[in-house]
Amino acid sequence: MEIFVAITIGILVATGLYRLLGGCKVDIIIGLILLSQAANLIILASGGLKHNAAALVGDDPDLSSFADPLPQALVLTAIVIGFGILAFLLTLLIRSPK
Amino acid sequence: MRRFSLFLRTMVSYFLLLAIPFMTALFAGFFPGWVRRHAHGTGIALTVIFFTGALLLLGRISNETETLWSIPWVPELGVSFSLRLTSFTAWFGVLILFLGGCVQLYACAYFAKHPRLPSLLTLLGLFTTAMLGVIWSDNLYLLFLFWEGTSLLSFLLVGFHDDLEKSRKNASQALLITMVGGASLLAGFVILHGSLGTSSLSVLLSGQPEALPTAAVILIMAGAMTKSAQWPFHFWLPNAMVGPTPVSAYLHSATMVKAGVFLMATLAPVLSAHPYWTPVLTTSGLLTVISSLMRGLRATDLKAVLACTTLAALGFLTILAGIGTPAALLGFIIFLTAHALYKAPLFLAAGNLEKRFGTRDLNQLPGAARHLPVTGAVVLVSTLSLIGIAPLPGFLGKEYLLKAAWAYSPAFALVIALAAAGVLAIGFRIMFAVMSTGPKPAKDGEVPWGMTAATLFPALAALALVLALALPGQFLGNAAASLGAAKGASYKFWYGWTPALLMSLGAIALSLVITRFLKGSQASAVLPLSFDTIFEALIESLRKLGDRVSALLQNGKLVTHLTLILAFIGTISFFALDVHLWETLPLNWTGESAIFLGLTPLLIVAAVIAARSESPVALLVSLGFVGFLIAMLFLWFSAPDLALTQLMAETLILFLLAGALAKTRRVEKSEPRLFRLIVAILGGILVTVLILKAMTLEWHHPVSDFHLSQSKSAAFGANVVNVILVDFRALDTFGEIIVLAIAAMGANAALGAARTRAPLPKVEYSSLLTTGSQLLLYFLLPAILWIFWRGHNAPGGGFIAALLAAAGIGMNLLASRPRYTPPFMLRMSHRFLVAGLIITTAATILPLLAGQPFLTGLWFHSGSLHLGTPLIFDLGVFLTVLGFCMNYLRHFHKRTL
Repeated sequence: MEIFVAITIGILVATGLYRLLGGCKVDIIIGLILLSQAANLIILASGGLKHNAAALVGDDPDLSSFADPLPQALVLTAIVIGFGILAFLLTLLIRSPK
Repeated sequence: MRRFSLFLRTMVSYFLLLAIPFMTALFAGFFPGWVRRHAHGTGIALTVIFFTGALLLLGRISNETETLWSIPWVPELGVSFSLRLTSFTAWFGVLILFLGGCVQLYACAYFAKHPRLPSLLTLLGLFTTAMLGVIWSDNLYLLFLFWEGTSLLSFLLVGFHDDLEKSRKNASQALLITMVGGASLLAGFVILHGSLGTSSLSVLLSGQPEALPTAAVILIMAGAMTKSAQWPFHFWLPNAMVGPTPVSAYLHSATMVKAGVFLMATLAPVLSAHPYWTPVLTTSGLLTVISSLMRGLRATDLKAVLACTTLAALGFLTILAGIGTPAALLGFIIFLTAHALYKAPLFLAAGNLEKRFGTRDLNQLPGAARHLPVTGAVVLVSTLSLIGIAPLPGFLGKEYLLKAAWAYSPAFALVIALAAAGVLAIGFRIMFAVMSTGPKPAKDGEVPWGMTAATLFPALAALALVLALALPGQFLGNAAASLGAAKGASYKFWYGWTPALLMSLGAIALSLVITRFLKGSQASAVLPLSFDTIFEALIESLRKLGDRVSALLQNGKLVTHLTLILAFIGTISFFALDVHLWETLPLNWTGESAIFLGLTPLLIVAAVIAARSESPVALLVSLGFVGFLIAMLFLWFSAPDLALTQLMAETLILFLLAGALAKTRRVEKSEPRLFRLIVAILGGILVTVLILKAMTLEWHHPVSDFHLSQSKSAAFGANVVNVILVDFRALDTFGEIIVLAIAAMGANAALGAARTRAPLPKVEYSSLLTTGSQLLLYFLLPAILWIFWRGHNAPGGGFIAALLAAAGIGMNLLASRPRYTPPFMLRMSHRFLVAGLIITTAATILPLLAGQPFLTGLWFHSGSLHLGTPLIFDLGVFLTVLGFCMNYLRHFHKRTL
């Protein structure tokens, strides 16, 4: 299943770059949205992908049976920060001269 | 009496002496009005302070032992603030402080009415400190810092007349050359430190290392040669004459250019063992001497002539340091001292003559000595010392130079004697010009007494030095020994009929012939230095190259910049891939992969539509799809928290995007599609390959293992992701929500307060939606609380709860409920933001009050219930994120309508 994820991310990056190079301001914002989605997936994938192994632990956990929680925590903050940056970019888009 | 001497010894603490010029600089800098009003008083006070410092140091030069004073600075890099005072550096310090006092007195008289006198005094004070730092530093890196300080300050001093283009140009030339030399010196020091394992000068000098790194020796020599203006870097020094007279006097006598030869002489005992040291330095020194004499014999400007003799003296000093034998270092000290004590008064006298007669041209100064007797006498004595007439210090310098050169190689000594004849000829020119009879010059300016006194002091000091050397007691003997000369050495005026004496007599005879021969050709024009032209051409071509490169890379189009950046990253990553080193990819095609057969094509289609679509609606739908499908992927890969966050964030992004896109006009595009497509596809392939590569590696993750194993037992939370956010890595989260708060304020600044006062548009809504959205919020409220509460043990938490609440409020805004007016939103968002930040900060600080480190979790247990500061922290996160979202929603919602 890794190959699917890799190809998906690759296509997200490609679409993001295509849009980013479009040459107008909206293009840059859409391109950045797509790229940041891809980046979140890359961080998650770099920690190793596991199905049905959410990091909800008991008192004495078997460490190898859980997905890596650290990339997840990083991506969670990245999603929120990405949202914040996007919101700020959109205000700039609204305020910038046409 | 004893207590007084103890007090004196404390005063002589060199750190204090280093601080004194610095303090005077601060005083002049902070009280410019006072300095301007009391220019003469300031001059006297500065002279007294500097002379006192010099006297205190003078008592130190008979000591044989060296003193060290050190405090660590960056111990990991081998940098410490350590000072080292030997007999030699104490004597050098005496010269610097003494001449510094003279120069400041002179400057106060010379620029008594100049509005920028305080800044000149500030620069001179700082420059003195930097120079003392160079000679007293024990740590190589500290020495480098002071070294760069002298370069920078000399740039400001030489360029003091910043309204003249020539002044600016020559100052920046000096700065460029000495700074490049400084960089070379630093590189040399780093290599030396790396290979010898010490950055302490005293340790370095205490033994002879087995092998010297050639690169370090060459780089250090280059650095010292640029500073001391040695061939081929010699051209900046004559140009630096554009500085004011006191500055030239100081730079040429005891400071700046002397730093280079000082470093050479200090390192000579160790580095002269390297086979390149002696040949390079003696050759460079000799070439400097020859080229400067050729120039000096033709020049007619007194300052230019003096600058050329400075170059020649520096060349001789470089030769002595290059030879590096104990005898040569013995000569080095007396030559350096003699030069400092005749060059400073000569420069200052040149300033006096210019002030009085309005010219510095040697041909227009006949009879100057008669109209300005004190200055004339000073010029006479100093010039006699310059040309090395017994018993002045210059004589000793020349004799010991010739002696050391004779011991090195008799043929070389003969060449130096020829050069000495050139110096003599230049000296005779100066003397004849000033002493000869002639009509009284047209201009009749006034020379203030301060200038005369400042000119007189160093000349008197030179005479006093003769006396001190003639007395028994080996004055300066310890200084020479501490530099590396033989122990117990001393200076004598008479050694019998040695080859050195015969050579110097021959040089006098020869110089008389040269003077006679040159009499007619004095007026010939000064040739421009070829090196100067080369340097300028080099700088000019560099500038042109820079323009070309900028024009190529920065054509003002964003697309070009982006493409370049991407191409660069791509190229570097491509070469770093090492495809042949790869393990086989894990293509575990299991039944679980089936979900991708549906999910992946959908995601790809949505992404492609998002990339190509031009209409806002299609964009919103496709982007929504992309975000939603990625949330599904998160869920599939065991990240329920991420999936929830992603869903909520996507909802809000669509809300904002709808508001922004609705009113944005599209612009015509001119970018070729094929080009974009190629870049995009290449980028996509590169990222795919990189991820596959990353996935073949199995990492060892000690950090995650720690989090997993400690989450339940130490932080009382089953949901490790949430525990990381609010406990293990709470500092990161703290920073993040502060960033969010700043972004919220940024929006307020960009969009302004006007929006809040604008009336709401009158649009009719279905009452079903309006009531429904309110109901939805009521239903959401318990869900929000529940999600927030369970966050520590199950998917949920402050971030997700806040985004959920924001989504509910967004719904109400869309439905345009009368309660949700802009002022209400503004008020609430500000309250939430402020409350969130306060609560989060309180949660981080509470442990401090309990005596625990910052951000430690404090817990209250009751059965299976665990309440702690991480929960409070999470509440703060919830409020901040909610406030942030509401702030943006209020800006965007009217645009959506």
